[in-house]
Amino acid sequence: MDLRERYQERYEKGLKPVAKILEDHLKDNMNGLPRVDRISARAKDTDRFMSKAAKQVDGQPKYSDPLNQVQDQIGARIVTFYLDDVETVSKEVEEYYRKIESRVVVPDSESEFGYFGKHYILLLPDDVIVDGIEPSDVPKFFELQIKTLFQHAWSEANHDLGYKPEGELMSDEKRKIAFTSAQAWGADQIFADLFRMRNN
Amino acid sequence: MKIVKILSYLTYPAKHLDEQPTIAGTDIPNSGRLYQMLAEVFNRSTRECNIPVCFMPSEDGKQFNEVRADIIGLLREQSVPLGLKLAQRLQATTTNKSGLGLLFLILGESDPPREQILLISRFPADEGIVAAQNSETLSVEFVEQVFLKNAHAYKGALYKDTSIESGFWTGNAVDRQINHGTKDLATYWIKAFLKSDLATTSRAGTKRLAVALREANRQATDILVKQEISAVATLARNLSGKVTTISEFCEHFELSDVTKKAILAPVKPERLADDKFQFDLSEFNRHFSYKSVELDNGAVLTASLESFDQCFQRIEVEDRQGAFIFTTEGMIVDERLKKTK
Repeated sequence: MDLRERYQERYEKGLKPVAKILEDHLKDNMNGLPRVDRISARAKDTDRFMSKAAKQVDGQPKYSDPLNQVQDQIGARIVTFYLDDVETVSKEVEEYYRKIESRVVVPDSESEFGYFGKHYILLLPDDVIVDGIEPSDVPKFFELQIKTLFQHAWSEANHDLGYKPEGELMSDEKRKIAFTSAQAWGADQIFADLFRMRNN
Repeated sequence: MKIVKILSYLTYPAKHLDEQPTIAGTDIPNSGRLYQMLAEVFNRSTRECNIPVCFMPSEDGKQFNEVRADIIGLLREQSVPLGLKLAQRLQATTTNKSGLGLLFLILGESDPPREQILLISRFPADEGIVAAQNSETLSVEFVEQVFLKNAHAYKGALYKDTSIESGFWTGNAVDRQINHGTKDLATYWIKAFLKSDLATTSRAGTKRLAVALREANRQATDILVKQEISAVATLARNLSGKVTTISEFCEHFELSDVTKKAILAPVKPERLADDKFQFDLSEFNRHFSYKSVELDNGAVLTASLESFDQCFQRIEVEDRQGAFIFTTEGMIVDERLKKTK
């Protein structure tokens, strides 16, 4: 079996059912936290996995063993109202899931605007590998993104517009995308200020 | 599982020393009685190392762990100098309480799917007596450095994976002192030396247990089961901070077979009944606790927190501030005298 076939089999037998169970697991553990807009989990589809597996760095394949190395084969997302809620949710996540990585993703420099979000690589809990699912059909880890509504909205639109097969965005289009990120960033800052003022 | 190479190092307790003692290391020949003994340790390790552990990321959150990096270095180049890094780390985290130790790094591999294996095994030093009989005389000598696979202080960690680049983040440990009253000893092997933590967090494992008890209590029709669950819910506070499993929890409180069965039934998948976690009392109480109301007339009303309001209807007494009438209805399934409430 080639890589595509192996991943497709893993997707059907392991990733898809486990992603559904993981979503419920996350919802159960985050139950009761205020201002959580949504919690979701999905298995990376085969085309996206193949495209990631084929990535190159300096002319060399980025992944020598993509089935073991790509860590977002299962991706989950928690969307909150405000920036402070991202911290509250993060603390709760760390109480229930074992992390091997946590990072706040921000643009490279202070004068740039683009993607913002908190990302984790977490150990897939044994609870979600239910009877009937072979442990070899699921990765050991999953990716969790925790974002505000504005960060989420921006990244969805950016993904839709910015990664089209028609080709790279023009310079002005890139500026417009950065402008919307700056606005989303500003909205988050103001809501965070208002939230803190109203709660102190 | 077959052994490829065994390395050994003598490590001193040097956590608080500015200058670390030199560590001597050696390759153990793959024959002879020592090899056979270590082969038995290696073969038993899958069963013996029963605490799932996971390496912690670096303090700035990066996907990097120094111990894992040392393990990967050793797996790539299986030599005494590469194993020395783990020995030095062990020495630098060992206090006098843990003392001198003999470290074995047993490298191996398994049949397809081919996994690379590393067993880290620490034999603590003890004192002993050697007795030897020569014709009609007996010589008895005191020996200071005897290394025993001591049932009370033995420590090990087993790592197996197919991928060196992305694997070896998780493993299984054995630590007979994990529930030791002294924090230094309890955290020495997994947290301080391995820079790891239990794969299941305290809250995740405790919640699993509490939910199993709650479900068992909800579904039980046998009064014995309800009584035993009610009793352990109270006694569980004594387990705070202890590393346990759901099965061990049932054994610890010597629950009847029917109650054990009722508690284990909702645990899915079943293997999680043997998953180790550190008991967290506040998490336990969040998911399973009893509510008890005591009245000034001596009455005590008790029911599980979630069913208390269904069990007892509460009406405020109009002409007496703070007074309530509680009513409940049900068949009497047990009635007894108790020395205390």
